[in-house]
Amino acid sequence: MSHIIVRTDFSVSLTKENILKQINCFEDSPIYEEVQDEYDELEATVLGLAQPKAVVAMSHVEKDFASKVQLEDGRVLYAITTIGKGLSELSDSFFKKGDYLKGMLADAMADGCLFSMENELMPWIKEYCKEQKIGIMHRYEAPHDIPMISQRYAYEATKANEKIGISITSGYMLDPVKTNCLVFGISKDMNVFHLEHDCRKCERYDCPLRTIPEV
Amino acid sequence: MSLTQEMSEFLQKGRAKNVKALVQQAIDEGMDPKIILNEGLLSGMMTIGEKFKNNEVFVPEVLVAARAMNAGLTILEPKLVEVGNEPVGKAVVGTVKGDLHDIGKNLVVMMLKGAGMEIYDIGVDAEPDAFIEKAEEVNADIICMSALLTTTMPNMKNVIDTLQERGLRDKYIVMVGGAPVNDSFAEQIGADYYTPDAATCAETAKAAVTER
Repeated sequence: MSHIIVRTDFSVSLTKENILKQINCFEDSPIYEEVQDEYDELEATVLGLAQPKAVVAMSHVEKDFASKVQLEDGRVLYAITTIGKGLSELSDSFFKKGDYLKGMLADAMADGCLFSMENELMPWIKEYCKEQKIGIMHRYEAPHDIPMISQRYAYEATKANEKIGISITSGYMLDPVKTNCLVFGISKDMNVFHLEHDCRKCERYDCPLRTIPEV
Repeated sequence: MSLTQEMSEFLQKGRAKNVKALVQQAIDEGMDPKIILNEGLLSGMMTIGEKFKNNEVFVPEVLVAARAMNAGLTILEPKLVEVGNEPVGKAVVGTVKGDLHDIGKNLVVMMLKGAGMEIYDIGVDAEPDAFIEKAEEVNADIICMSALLTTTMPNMKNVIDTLQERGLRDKYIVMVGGAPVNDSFAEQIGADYYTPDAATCAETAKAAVTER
């Protein structure tokens, strides 16, 4: 049975400029200052509601999944990160009250919390891999690299329900909605670390955080 | 500039306090609530929606405009009830079974309200029956379905198939949207319209209901 590690020791932080960029609010916008003020008003509430948890496990992959990826030793490292339900509920409550800007900001800030968790998790994964004398050959993302069912395999391998209270829908979507599933192909070369999201392969062409043009 | 034009201008700038004050002023001056709604608030929202489609403004500007509209509506709604104002149409909106994404659906709800529609939001992870039962209950004109995943898109077809089985397909305009959805998928599953964004959805919904 694979070793499952749970982490809750995250110090989630947000960068205002990135959040505003995520909702397409730029410095030349006539409401830039107003959006900044709304952000400032929300930040403490958002950070207070975030409940960051992550679960990590190494596993051999299912046959149908293995055919989609190139693996050196048939194993992957699964990591599931979540900030809980609180922020989605906050965003939804703002939308229901007709405060659409705060609703959208809360949603973007929830994504920002997830990105922040990922940034904290990466150095830890690198250290963990060093201990295991392995590297990371590739980062796979559903649905463009790997099928959505891989989220079910990650959910099962990490025992995400038992360990951090995650559930999964019939469409293989992890619940709470602000949950991220990371899948890393293991390399036997412990000097190889391809951990980062690759914008070149991402199909979100309109993503405000995209760093490179479509290829 | 007329009072309703001024209202529309302030709404497009997201100035909720000004919009509320102008709506109150218009009511106090005895203006027909339907004119306040159609020529002031909804006209402002349609203009900002058009600007969004033409990339003249971004999402945040639309959000503050919609918030200003909402502020005006809270004052106007009791007057609209008094005069028996009918909505442009009624729409049931939800994210399909297996899918928990709600931001796109929430934006669609916001823009449909801005087009003068009465909205019944059935939330996320909605069973096919939930769409149909709500539509039957409120005598809706439109069923709007959202899906953000390739694994949940087929559930849109389940709703349409269930409508067919119950002999209700022609009773409703069926609209679909979401990142993986496109025109050919909409055609393939028998939906009436695919729209790529919330502003287009509102415009299309209004036109479709009016045409009926």
